Amino acid sequence: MQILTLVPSPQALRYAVFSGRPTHPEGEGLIHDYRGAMPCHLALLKIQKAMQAAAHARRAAPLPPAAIGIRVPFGGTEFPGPVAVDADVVRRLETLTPAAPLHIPALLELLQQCTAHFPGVPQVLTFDTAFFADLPEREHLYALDADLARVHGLRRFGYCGLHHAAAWQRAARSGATRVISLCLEPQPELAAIQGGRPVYVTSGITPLEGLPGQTTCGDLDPGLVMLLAEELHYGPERLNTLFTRESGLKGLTGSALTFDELFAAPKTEFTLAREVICYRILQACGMAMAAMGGADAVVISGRYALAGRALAAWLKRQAVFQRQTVPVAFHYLRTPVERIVAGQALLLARASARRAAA
Amino acid sequence: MNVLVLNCGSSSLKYRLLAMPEARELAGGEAQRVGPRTAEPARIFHNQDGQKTVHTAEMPDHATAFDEVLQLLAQTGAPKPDALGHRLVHGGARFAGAAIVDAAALRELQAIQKLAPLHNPPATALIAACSARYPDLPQVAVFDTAYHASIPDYAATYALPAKLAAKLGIRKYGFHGTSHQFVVEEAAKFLGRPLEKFSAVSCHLGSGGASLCAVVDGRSVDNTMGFSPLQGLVMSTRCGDLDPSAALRLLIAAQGNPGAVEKTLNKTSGVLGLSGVSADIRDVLAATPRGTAAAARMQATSQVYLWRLRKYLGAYLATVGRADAIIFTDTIGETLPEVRAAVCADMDCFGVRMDFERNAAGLPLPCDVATAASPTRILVVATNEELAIGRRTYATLMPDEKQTAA
Repeated sequence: MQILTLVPSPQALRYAVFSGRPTHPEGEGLIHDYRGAMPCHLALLKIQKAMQAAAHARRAAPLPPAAIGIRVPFGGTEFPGPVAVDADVVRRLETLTPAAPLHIPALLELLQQCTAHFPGVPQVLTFDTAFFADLPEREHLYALDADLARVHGLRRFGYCGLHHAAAWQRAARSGATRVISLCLEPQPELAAIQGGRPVYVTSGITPLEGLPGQTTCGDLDPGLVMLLAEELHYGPERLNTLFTRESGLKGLTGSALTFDELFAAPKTEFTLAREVICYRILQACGMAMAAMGGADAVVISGRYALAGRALAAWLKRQAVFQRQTVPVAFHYLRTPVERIVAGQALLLARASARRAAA
Repeated sequence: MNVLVLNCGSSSLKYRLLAMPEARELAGGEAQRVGPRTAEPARIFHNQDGQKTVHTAEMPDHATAFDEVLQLLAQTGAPKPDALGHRLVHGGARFAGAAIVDAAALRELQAIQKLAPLHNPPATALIAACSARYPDLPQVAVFDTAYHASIPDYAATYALPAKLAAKLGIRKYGFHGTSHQFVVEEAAKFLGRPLEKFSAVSCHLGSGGASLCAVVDGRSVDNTMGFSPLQGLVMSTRCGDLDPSAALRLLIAAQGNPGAVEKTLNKTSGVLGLSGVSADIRDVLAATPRGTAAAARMQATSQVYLWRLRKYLGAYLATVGRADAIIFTDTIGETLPEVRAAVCADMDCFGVRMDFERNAAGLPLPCDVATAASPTRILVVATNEELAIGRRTYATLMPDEKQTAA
């Protein structure tokens, strides 16, 4: 039984094929310039060909996958868990377009192309926001006029839910009930998870809020948004580019840096950026501990989980961790997001197969 | 030396005449409804020798209000002030400490007004008027931002392009410094610790603005307010922390008018926006609303207010590492034991254990409401910004006598 996973990002489409247990993919690839020079239907054709070639090389019959798992960055409160796509799901996705005007139309096109190239194969959507669908009210509300917030849909979410769910499972296996989960992706996110439920997260209505990323600014004084609009005569689009593409590590250092590079080479010109990141993560840990009344474990996941070791060494030296009578355990989770998607897709595909059989 | 301390609000002028260095109060009071005529006449509420009197006067601006205060002091036989101490909210990058006002300093003050458009202009205008009318009276400007000049770069830097930040003076300035510094000094004295070895989280919880300050070795190392007083905690009408994308969405909705968004985030958000009925968290905590929807909204308001406060207390305790004390001050911090209890409960992981009975007992200030075994003390200390400004003013004018003034 094969599972195909698709992880779209603004400029690329990552795919992987898993067989049986979703541990290591038997094939994977990255399609560049996705939805640019490589339109969606050609990308799917390329994946279909790659799968057929792989089957041919194994001298196996080119069977379609048992399910396609697709990562979706935003499902709002509408999708509190993974779903198998049907007409009703498509209709509900369409209602989310105003909240995610770039992601949802791209996703709908991808679903159509999946149906065209792999007819009859169940499509499973796994949402990064699903883990946060029942974030407590005190954590998801902004201190804004309640009507204004409702009209503009302004509330807080987390955006690395797939990683956090896996991190929680890892820590819970070691007996932890209060977990600090740091997902070190280009746009990092820290969450406090108590008994499997998130109680605090650094992100907001978008992943821009919270920790600075490789090119994203993270928390700002909201007054600065207005100051920049006035002083630079920037419109909202230009400001958005400034905050999401030109800030973060890139803005602080002037170089396009990954978190691996930031922590690997202790160059002095990166010192301030490294200190800023470490400090903001320390404060987020403090918030997480206040939210849970302490912490049993820290799990660092995501693409730069290994860079997290240097960060963790620094965190462990800080008095707030030193003073804990029961030491806080540190775990590193290198599970790529495809594997998490494949796992969720497999579970759901099996469940619907069982339902269909019964 | 008699120092007249002046604290300009948008429509008020608080004053306090102090004999320094002993900090004996000679007179004090507040001019209210300064500015354009309102439904009620402008009045000065004056206290002197235990006597409270009320005086009506036309006070179209702060300079006139100041003249009225001087006349009132002369009429009531108070000694003449030898110096003026002004409170200014924002000192920008230029003023890292209190400054004697001369022509150059006044020009600098006028240049940085836009950093705090609500707060700095009335005080700056008053300083200019005083310089013109009473050139022989020494004036000292004391800044809310000055105490935070010691915040290290890694805590003060926003992750924006470095050149842009340098060009526009974008960094965390921090506010309420005069009050934080005052209560930190009082707390160290109360606990008998040398200030230069004293670490704390100071919680200035006013009925309007509020901020937390992380203090290491007596110096500020972080403040929840940022470039402006808008960032951080939930305040009476200010939103505090907000996703920059949310501000952008509001900017789009306001057809790109930054002033309209600024007004929304400063004037109709916070406790007022959440509750829909009151800007004062005391009203929300005491409310017994009829109907489940109204009750749920009050509940949500107090939960969001307290939760943000609790999270920042955790963040700042992590910053400080091993805090000697948590200090609560100003209206909410001093008078609402339930707020202190909500944010200090279940904080053992930071070495914080509250004695809830002592906390609720209404002890005279300053008081310690931690359990005997708590490694971190929990103090309630009355703030006194005017006295703090008086001390800074005296210390600035008499640098050799700084030790006695402190």
